[in-house]
Amino acid sequence: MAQDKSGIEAEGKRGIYSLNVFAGGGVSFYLANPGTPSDVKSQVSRIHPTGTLRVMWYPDHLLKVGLETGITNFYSYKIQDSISGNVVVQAVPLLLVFSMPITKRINIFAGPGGYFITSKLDYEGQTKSKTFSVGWMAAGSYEYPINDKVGLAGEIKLLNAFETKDVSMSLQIQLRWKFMEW
Amino acid sequence: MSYNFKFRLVCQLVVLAVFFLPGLVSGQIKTDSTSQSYLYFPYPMQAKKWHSSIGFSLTLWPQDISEEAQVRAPAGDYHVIRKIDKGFYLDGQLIFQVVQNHLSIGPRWAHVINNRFSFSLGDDIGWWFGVLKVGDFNTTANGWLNYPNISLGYRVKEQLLVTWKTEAIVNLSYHSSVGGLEVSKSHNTLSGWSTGIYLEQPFYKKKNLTLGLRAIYSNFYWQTWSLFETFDRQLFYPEITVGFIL
Amino acid sequence: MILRYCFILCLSMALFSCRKELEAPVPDTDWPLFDSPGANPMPKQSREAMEGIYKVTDGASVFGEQVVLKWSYVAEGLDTTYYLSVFCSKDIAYFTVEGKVLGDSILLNGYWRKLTNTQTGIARFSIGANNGAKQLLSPLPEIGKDSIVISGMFGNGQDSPSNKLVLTYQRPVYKGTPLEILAHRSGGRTSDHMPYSENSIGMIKYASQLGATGIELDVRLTRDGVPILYHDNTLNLRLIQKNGLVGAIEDYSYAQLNSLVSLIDGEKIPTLRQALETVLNNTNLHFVWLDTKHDDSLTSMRNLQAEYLQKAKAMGRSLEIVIGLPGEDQLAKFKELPNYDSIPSACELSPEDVVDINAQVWAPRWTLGLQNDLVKQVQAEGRRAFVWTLDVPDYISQFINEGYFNGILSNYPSLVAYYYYVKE
Repeated sequence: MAQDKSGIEAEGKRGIYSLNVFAGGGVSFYLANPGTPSDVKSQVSRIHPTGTLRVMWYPDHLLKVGLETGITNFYSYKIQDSISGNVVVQAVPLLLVFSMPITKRINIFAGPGGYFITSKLDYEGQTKSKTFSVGWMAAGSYEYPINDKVGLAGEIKLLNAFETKDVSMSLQIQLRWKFMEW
Repeated sequence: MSYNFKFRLVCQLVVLAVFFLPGLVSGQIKTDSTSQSYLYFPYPMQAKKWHSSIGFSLTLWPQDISEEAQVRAPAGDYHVIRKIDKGFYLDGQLIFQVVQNHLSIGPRWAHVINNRFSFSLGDDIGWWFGVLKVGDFNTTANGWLNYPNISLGYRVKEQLLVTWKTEAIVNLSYHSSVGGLEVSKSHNTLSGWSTGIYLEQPFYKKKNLTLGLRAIYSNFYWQTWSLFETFDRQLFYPEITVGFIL
Repeated sequence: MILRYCFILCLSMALFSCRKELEAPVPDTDWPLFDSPGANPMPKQSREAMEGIYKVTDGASVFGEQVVLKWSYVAEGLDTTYYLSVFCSKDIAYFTVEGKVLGDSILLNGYWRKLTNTQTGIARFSIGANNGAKQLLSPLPEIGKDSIVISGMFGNGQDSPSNKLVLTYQRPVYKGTPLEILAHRSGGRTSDHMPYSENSIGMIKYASQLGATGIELDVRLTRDGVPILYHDNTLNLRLIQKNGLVGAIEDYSYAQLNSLVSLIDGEKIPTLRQALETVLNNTNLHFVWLDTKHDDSLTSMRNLQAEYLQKAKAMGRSLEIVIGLPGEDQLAKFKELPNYDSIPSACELSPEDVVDINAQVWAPRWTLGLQNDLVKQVQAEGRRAFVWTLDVPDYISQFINEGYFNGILSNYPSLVAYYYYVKE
């Protein structure tokens, strides 16, 4: 989003603070080696829908900070053996996000955090199991301001769950809404 | 993730060089030499005053060491610098986690290359100690370390400072005690090295923030002392640092 | 400007994706001379006479001043393969080689490995007729100081051996107070980049080559109650190949795990039954510590313990199998078993708990130190004391030379074997 010139600190005074919420959705492509069982035939799907929810605090300088979550299906595969089945690997990230504008409309986002990962297995019975993985994200967005409070952005984002070696790239359309200012 | 390690290292250096090169030919930038809103940025200090930051660092341990028990405990981080003489200053840091703590101090010599670039050379002595006497543990340990270091600073904007710091990690000595048994080792071996990027800039009001990402490659990392691991391999410890400059 | 910010991002990402993949693949040990038709297996008396403490007269800078030579075997049906292990203290190195007789010489072929790092390489040695082979191959070998000289070459990685190593016999191995040398996780840890995954069938067979006289097995239950070997509480990439499955291993049925999960070196997760079958039929291990990693009923573990103790007895095998009790939960479950005080067990809790359940073994953590008084107290009650999991070389030496423990559980049984056998 554009750097809010009015928000930059004047000498001796603090600028305007605001809270902005981002909601977006799009499509993700799984970049890492998906990893499938070696002893059974399988068919992998790397492309899945994804969604993001992010809240950012805009202080009176370049650097912004916030929290991000969302939901994404990292990858899935169908087991095509004597018994058929399928596996879906889903993640809910919870990330501390730092952001900076680099031009009037282009922003970068990056930060560490964790991923709550769920694997859903339907093979010889159903099993849903969970784990947590440390990870990080990085993203770049181009925002078109609709008005003072709302902007529409296109974002490209990399999610990396470090411990489970899951990496995805997503393209999303996002809506930003400045819902609080003081 | 399966790239050749050395190839990636070269790539990183190339990326870094490309990042910094534009600064050599870019326009002039106003250098506010009187403000002191940084601790990592390698720049000669103007006044003989204490400058400090408080924050935390979080270091992830490699699975080879931590196994299933992923340790994600942040450590408190107090960082302080003070001018000694023209171009020289002292850099001290206390990293604390109650059961294990690390104190380091060392001189820096900083030199300004131009209005964007500066660098420093330094050498820190570090001492760590740990005490674990609960449950199945009756153990203590301590050791001395040496960190020769070099920092390259790049002033992106007047108050937006990027520092690339690289240091060697040299083990000087190690002592541990387990239920009355003692093991002492005096050695002077290169245990590993680390390299990191630190961003220092205003955050809100007049408060400045430090954000750091550091990659440690070492066959001994002091925070893992209680595991008594015996590996002689340089393992990878990623670390994030957040500090609020006081 | 945009470019520069992108570079910061790229650099940070590059830094944080830099993980050196460490590996220590077993080198290819093909040696045409060793595999030639004229090369024959070594006779039993030659193998036994070779065991001892050897001085490293050439190559000490790499493997230390002194090494221990011990034989072990792996049985596969009617075929038995004998392995000569060389245990070193420096860098926790060991060799494992096979031996053959060619003419009036003895050939040794295999590889070496250092466990503190990932160094490994090919090892080829020989004992000439006049360097001890003639004596070793005689019906009643008489071996004395300097009577055997093993000389040969070792290499690095897959390189042809080009570095000289000479070992000279000094004295027999220590045969005084017995010590149970117990290998952790069925033989060794995956993080030490062993030739097999931890808690796998391959590792159980390999344990003796590392000097182990017994093994510890980590036992968990699948969702349908099958006891299996697995250490961690979750499926994770430290132990298994990536397959998208995460979470507690107890969430999965045995059929699911057996079909979809492979350990890091490609093996299937073994059942406890398969593991005990392997111990009994393929190894000369005589102690098995079943470390209870779950807090459900111990009935299935107990039934397998009883079954395999019975089988061992029927085969005339000396085999002990104890149920390990690491915490209060497991202790409570153990007490639910009928006649629990007559079931062989290893209790990690207090000596009072040990008496309460009449455990055969008291097993404190090594980080409490030698505890000589408590160890003697337990031994006075007719029990044994084993310490776990001791890996630090200096402390292993101190526990062996200054302590009274009857057994040491270690990720480095070769190092425990070294310090034990060099005792005088």
